[in-house]
Amino acid sequence: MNNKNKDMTWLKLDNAALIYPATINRKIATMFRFTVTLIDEVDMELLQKALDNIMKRFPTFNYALKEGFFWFYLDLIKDSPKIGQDYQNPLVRINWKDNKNYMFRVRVHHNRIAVEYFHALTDGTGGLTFILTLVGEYIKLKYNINYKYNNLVLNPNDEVLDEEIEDSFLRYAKKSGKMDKEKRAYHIKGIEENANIINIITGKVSISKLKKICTKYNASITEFLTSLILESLEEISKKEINCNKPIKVSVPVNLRKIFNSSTMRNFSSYVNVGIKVDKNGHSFEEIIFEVKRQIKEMTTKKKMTEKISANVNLAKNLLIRIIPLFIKKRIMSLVENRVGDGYVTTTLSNIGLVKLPKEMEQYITDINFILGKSKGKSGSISAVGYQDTLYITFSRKIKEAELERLFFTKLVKMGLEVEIESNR
Amino acid sequence: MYCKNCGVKLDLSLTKCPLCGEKVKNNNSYNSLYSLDIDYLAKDISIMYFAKLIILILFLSTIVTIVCNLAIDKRISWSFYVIFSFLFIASHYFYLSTSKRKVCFIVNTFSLELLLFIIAYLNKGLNWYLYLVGPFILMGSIFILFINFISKFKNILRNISYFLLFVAIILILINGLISLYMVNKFILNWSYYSLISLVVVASILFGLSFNKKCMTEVEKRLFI
Ligand SMILES: [Zn+2]
Repeated sequence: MNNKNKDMTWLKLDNAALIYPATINRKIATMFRFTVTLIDEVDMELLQKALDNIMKRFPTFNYALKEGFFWFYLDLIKDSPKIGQDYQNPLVRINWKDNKNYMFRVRVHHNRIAVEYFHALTDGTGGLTFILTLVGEYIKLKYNINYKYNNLVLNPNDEVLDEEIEDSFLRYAKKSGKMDKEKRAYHIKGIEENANIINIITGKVSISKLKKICTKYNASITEFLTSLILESLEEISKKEINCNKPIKVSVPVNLRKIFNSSTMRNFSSYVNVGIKVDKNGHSFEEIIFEVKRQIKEMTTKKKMTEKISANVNLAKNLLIRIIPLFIKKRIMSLVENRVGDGYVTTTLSNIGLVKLPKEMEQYITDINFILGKSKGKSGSISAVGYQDTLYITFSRKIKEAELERLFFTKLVKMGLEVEIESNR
Repeated sequence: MYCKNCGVKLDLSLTKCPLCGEKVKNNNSYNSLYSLDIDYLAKDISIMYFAKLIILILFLSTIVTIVCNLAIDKRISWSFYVIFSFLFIASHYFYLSTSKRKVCFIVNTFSLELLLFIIAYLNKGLNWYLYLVGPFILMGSIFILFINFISKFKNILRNISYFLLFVAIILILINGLISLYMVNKFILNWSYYSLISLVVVASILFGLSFNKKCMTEVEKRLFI
């Protein structure tokens, strides 16, 4: 490690993070949250100690978002984060000042530890690694046990690797890139809730039973869930007269699995999977076939390289670079509304199965993953697996829960037992 | 506890099914998952609140002005300007309170017209208002509403032809109004030429807009 020699008092944002600060408005910032539920009431003081212990292992988490003249940048914070209480309505936009300028916050409610992140800081994989390392350290302090660290639970005393703080986009981008052309997608309409309110519904399903159904269709869990969401969305859109926009689900892709990287900053992209609406509708088999084809086609290394190259080259474009930030962020916000949220109906982010050291597992009962509000979409969907339970969480900013109802009743009709939790 | 409509198992803390709204009997009111406290964005200053505050301050200062005016002149004279300026600003409150942008726009156009009318009337400049300012503002607003209306149609060429026709009509009106103001007669002179050329171009575009091949060429090159 030689990053001690580098000037680390400030950093540039990674390529994927560029868009998020520009799209913040008074009410909404792109956020996501992980929660870990333990067997006992959480000891706040001990958790604070654990947090202090692990901060040096995650140097990029110690930065504040600041505005330069041309770009946002990350400024080193000479302080340490404080733990707070959790609320009924999670993922309210972080108020930087109240949060000592940190772009994440740790919150506790009885047995549950929650960490909420602003997306410019890191992506799902980075966020999951951080909370699990924190919980690992806490369990170590509280129950006095030892376990073998893995890729999700890091040893807080290990040296930080250079590649953990790198912007991997820059490493893998090529000279020329290509963006896919897309059409505007269907959006669910509904009555919007008050700005502070987010409606969360989590459905818990057995992974082994779900896998049996997936093998029937020869699909992965992500492919199966995406198809089921598309089928539910098609039913909703059919009730609207003259709806001819395609239905599309944005599925985040962890680029660490395609390229070699262990960065703790953003390194993910997405593919938009969708179906066209026609009068006859689609059978579930047709949708699954289409979803599998599209995911296979779009997640190749070649396609992903084209996509990240296009983004990196756009940020390198001299014309874009010389626009002052106060103009640039307005342009970016407009583009994001049209292109980002405009092209998709909703998002399904499946972080996958969390594998923990055996000694740790006995203290942890549940893990959950929730996506925050976004400007253009009515809601988002996230999934995470732990032991034999898959936690499928819908978060939405509208009152109506029609998509959730259709989706979960479909699972019930397939013979699965679904257990529902909610914040309201 | 299961929801009888949806068939899902409900967490003990739930008193109704969050999917369909069906009430269920759960004696456990303790929610171990979510706190009862609500989080607020501390610096969340509502625009509505601000608008109300500003209107209140302006209202009070208007009252003060009227009182001063009455005390000095024993009648309302110069404070008329203040009153109508206040009403004009207050009418913008509509923009914030409803999501019906078009209604707001129309309300604001009329409040602007009213304000200018009052100023013109008090200055005995009605001629100037009736022939120039009033109609021009009205035409501008109708023009914006018209653009808003035709932008809903997909066919670019046809939209441009409608647009050109509308411009032609406006040019005729401008020509006529100026002559009304100058010589008190509705005379058209230069607008004939613009009318003819605009109508010719508009009808060519209108005709072409039915040609599919031509349309795709145009869309390919002109999409935004
Ligand atoms: Zn129900």
